[in-house]
Amino acid sequence: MKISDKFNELKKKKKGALIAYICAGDPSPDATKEYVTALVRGGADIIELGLPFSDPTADGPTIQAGIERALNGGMTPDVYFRTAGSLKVHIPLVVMTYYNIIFKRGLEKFVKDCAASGISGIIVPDLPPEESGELAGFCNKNDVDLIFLVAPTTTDERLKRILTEGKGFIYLVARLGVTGARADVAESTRALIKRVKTTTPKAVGFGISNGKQAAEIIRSGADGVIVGSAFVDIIASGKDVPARLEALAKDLKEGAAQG
Amino acid sequence: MACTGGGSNAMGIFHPFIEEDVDLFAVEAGGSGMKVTDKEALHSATLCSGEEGILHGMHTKVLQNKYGQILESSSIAAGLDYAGVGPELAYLADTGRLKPCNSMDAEALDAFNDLCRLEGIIPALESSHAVAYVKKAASTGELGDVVVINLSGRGDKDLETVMGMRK
Repeated sequence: MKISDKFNELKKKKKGALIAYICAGDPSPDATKEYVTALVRGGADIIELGLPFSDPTADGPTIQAGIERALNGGMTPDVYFRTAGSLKVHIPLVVMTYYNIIFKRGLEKFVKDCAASGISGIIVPDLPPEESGELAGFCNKNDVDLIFLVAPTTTDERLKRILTEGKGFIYLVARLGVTGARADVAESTRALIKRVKTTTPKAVGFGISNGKQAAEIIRSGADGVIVGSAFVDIIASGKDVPARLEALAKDLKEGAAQG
Repeated sequence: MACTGGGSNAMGIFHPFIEEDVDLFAVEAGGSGMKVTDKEALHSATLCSGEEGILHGMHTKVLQNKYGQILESSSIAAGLDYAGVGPELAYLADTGRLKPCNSMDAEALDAFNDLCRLEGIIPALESSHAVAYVKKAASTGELGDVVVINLSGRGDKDLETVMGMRK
């Protein structure tokens, strides 16, 4: 499913989107299939499936640990695409990974593998827009969205470029630093949502962990929330994981929907 | 002759000589051997054995496995213990302008001791790799009459490591 179709569908219902991140292969490829199903049951609108990279510079301790579990569990790009291709979900899938994984596989092959395994978007936190032309070319050819990140420190000049070239949705980084669950919503987050003016959907990530925050973000003008660490925390605990993933997704989705 | 991890001191000393008729040697950390597994390298010799990749925002040579996962590098010298290298150095190595080479942990330790004993200078373990390579190369005839070693750091900080190794 295309990302834009999903956002259009939600827009008609006046609901915010829940984009749920987990790291593929954490702690095993089979577990990932079960967990994705649980997130979808809980109401996730888009699944952001991390493809683990050994040096995840944008991720905090929670997701770093998840990535390590996944790598130790034998996750590789080959296994990743097999796993993604075997997921029976009817919502958009997005891959989040780092540029060296894509570069090493070959840009064109990577994008084609995405298209072939039902992945409709790519997020690469360590690829600046200025260097993204080649990958964007292959994405356009294969109808895969290249999603860019905007941080509170993004300059106006770069923001302009991102808003022109960004596809799928614009990933607003709620705060400086790395990923990780936080208790509150920062003032800078609201300021960023206001600053980014575009018809492309805006989704906010980094630090969101409950329905109350999700509602606040949507109320501030975002079209979706991205939640990762809070889910990965549940996976790390190893206790009652599918049920708790579903319950948290439900809480977040209710927040996003009423916001 | 300069030790090379990320390569800041090497690029600093090489820069004024790039256009000159001077041989440039980038001495990397050979660690405890050139062996590599799927997850780690026993060395940090990126120019010698790394492959093209992207790390920390640089398009350069990187120690990585076939999937592009970065290897855990290794060296007795913390300042050389890095899986990447400055892209300018990778370029100079590719064009043949500089010669990538390496010294092992044990060779660097010997050179550290030599410089302490013979000159009363305590070199950093990083810089000791460059001293060690000069010792090796002196007998192979690859050096000219004048050799400059960039003694990029002092070894006071390394005494604990070195004393520990002696016990």
